[in-house]
Amino acid sequence: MINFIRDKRGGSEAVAFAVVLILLMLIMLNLLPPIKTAFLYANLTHVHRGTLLRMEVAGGLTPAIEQKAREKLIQLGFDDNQIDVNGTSAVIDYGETIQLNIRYTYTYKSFAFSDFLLYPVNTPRIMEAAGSSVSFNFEK
Amino acid sequence: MRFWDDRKGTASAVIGMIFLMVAMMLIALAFDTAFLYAKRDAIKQALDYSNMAVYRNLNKERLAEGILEIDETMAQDTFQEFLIENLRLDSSLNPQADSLAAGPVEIEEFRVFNPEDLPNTDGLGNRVTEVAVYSQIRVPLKPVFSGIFATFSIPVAITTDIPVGLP
Repeated sequence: MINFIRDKRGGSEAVAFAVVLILLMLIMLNLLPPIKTAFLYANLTHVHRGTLLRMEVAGGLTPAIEQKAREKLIQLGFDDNQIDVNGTSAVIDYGETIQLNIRYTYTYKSFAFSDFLLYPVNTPRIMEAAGSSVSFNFEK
Repeated sequence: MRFWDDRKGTASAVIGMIFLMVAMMLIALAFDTAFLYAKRDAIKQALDYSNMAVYRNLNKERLAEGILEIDETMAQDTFQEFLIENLRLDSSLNPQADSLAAGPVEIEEFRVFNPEDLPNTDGLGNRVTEVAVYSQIRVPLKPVFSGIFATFSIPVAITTDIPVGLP
């Protein structure tokens, strides 16, 4: 070990390289979770939009609309047990406010650096897509 | 002490650190761009819902005659009411704790295209041939990294056609 440090053939270079490599790995590993989260959130808002548009026509949230939203989310990689769909129940008259909240509980996996080791940190988080519009349901 | 005096490889370490800093800045820039894009998309969706809500103000007497016409005075109030709700703002359009906005939101343009206004062109330059609602707002956003230094004011605009299901 002493010889390695005293060795003039690039000892400090190797240490510097290791430090830079660890820092770079830390950045790269911590970059993936927010990208994955942003992707999940974009999918959640996409499903939220489709569901709210269906609710406008139906005059609120029906079991069929909720089921369709869940199926779409599962198809996009969401865990069914962690999805909470909450909205104004059908049937609401034309012009009345309808509201939809979709909440998803997920585990945010990041990485921390301590004692010269990189280790994963799991944090439970909730993402939510919420919005309000009006019912366009007509009694025909 | 020899270790610290050793100058072999110092340039490589410095180059490594510079590379690391440049990589971090590029990553931060890429992340902030994606962040702004995602936020803008969510705000555009909220704006679309608020435009859509305006269709509650259809003039029912004209509707009985088979003409779709939106009451413009009521439309403005409805738009603002739903914008406040969907962007989680207070009555002065300032953001609440869980809002998408990082500062006061400005309504730059709100316009209803009724049958007598058609054909027309909206603020984005798109041709409007059917009854529609156009709105443009300016929303301050704070990106994760560059938000430390500055707040960006992003314009968001959308034209919402008549919803499916309306006569």
